[in-house]
Amino acid sequence: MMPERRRERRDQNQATIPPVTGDHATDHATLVFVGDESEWSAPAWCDYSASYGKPDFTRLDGADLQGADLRAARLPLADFRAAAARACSLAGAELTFSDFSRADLRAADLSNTCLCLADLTEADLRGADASGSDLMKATLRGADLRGARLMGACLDDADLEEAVFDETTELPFDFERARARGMTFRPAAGLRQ
Amino acid sequence: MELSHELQRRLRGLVDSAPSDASSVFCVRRTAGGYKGLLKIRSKELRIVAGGSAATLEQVVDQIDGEVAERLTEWRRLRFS
Repeated sequence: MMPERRRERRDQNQATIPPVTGDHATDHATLVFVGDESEWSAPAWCDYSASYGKPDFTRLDGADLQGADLRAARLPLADFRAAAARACSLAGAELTFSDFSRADLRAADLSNTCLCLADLTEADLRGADASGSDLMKATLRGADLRGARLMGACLDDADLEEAVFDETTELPFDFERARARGMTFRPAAGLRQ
Repeated sequence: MELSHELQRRLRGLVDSAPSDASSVFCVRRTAGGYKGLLKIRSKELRIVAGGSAATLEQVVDQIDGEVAERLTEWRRLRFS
């Protein structure tokens, strides 16, 4: 028999959960919070249950990171929007899903970093070294890549619309093959196409 | 009943791509036709409930993975816009 207090708290928590419809509605109704919000209760029907958590992500938007040494840092989902990170070293860092939109990354060392699904919209990457980095599904819309080194980088499914290249940009692909691999791009400045 | 390391890694990965302070619970039960699973993710910003039923655990996780990925893509679109 469930104690009265616990039942009340469960009802309160259930009241805050938005309604779920469809096949899983019944199961959802049995999967409820008991106690405080960090505590989960698995329903009686399950043969196996596991819970997972993740830490908070870092906010560095607008921070002055010029010349900073952040090599091998683990900053997934970090917010670097409009950060001044000129000549910053992020070599080997884990930056999946990070947001670098409008960040100043001129001459930054981004070599061998994981920038999967990162947002680099309108980032200034002039002279940056991103060689060997994983930029799969990254957004580089309007990014300035003049003089950037991208040799050995993975750009599968990356979005390079309106990105600025020139003859000093070291690219790891030829354009036709890149298109075939799902990349979308339309260089704003002239480049070997 | 235990989940393989690969499936646990995938489920953990789903939470890693969720908003900050997210936590999740995954439950699964055997049914006549195979397995039925349910994953709930919650954080300050969103709540996701995804479920699936299939003959194998891998297929159940595939279904949940697809459903959660779709919701998280939508969240990221709004988050980074």
